[in-house]
Amino acid sequence: MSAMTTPAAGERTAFLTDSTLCIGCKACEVACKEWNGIEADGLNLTGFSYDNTTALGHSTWRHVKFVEGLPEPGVGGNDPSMLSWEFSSDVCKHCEVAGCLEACPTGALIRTEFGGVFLQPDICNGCAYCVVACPFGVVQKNEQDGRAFKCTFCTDRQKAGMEPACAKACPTQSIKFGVLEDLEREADARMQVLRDRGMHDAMFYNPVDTSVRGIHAMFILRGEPETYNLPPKPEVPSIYLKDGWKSAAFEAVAMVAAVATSFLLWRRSS
Amino acid sequence: MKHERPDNTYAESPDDPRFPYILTTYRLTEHHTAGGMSRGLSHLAELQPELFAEISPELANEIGIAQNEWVTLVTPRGIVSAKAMVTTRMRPFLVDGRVIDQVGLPYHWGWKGLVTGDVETICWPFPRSRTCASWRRRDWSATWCAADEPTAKRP
Repeated sequence: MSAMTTPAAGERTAFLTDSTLCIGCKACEVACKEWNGIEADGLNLTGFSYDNTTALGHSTWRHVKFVEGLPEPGVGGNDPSMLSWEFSSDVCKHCEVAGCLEACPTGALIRTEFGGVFLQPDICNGCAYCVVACPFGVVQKNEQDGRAFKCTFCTDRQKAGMEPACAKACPTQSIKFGVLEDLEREADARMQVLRDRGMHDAMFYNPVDTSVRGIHAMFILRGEPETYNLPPKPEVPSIYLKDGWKSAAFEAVAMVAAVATSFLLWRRSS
Repeated sequence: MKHERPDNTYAESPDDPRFPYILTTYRLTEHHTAGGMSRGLSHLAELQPELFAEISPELANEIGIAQNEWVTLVTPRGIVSAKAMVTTRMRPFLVDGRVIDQVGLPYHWGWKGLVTGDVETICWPFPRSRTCASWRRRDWSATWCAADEPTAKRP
């Protein structure tokens, strides 16, 4: 399992996607679709570099981003003036505190024994509350089918002791799969290696300081997360609940006061 | 009319005024060789659905082409149409003090499959860099080809 130990019962598994190793081959996209039997989602040339799938959605659960940028040492081949071309494989983050899970009214979205977030298609009613609640824009509703779909974390494969299809297919081990704590340690070691090599713009993306409280699909990226369309400070929508209820309570009190006042004034005048 | 290549007498070499640009060809990861075995697979076809020609922003400005616009590529041997992919990855050459632009054309497309496109080898007998290519805007190619659609779209 990508050189990681098999998880014991109760241990949370995770992805570590190291974009510095990604070659943009899209084997992860194809393996995911082949394993899960997902259809192709459109045969259109987008013109966004070599990215013709554009984003995660109901029929794309792994998506490789192609970022063409200014010359950066180490990513443009031997010529230091060559433009940089970065690749990063995006996936559902399986958040520690998941906005989709909190928003789901039917209980279709559940936390699995592996720590991932799983959308049960037989329970989903297509309300799409999860779609708007995800801070990363991962879930999408399939309008033909009526239900929402997203990465399953290959829970079926994990139950059989295998690693997810994308991690298995990745030829450079850019997608690493294993126990969460092991991968965090491995990410630390890799970050040190990259810094020693002079790659000072390498960053480890795992927003533990936000209301999401950490993600189970961590990334090693070069540069800012916004370059890869990742929010630097993702928040779950439920952080606005307290303020929402407070203003509702205030409005209720104000409304009752206004009605009472107008009633008393009417009584006074009549 | 100087022919440095006796096996290619269809164009002057170098400096044929009809063909000022370099054309090069290459593979993409998503398709396999001539594409017969990958264009029919939906999971591969969606990753690279159409033939495109990569040109530098400098060349795109020069001929007035924007991203995703149709362009027609002409060599002494054939004509193909492709969508333009304007990218800074395609860089002009500086040869003997002259700037010569390069255009790139992947060779995976053909007439059959889920995704179709012009066959690149119309332009030359086998995949290689050639010094003979010129670009025209899609609307000018009407004088060359009667069809409005790329030549590959046959029933």
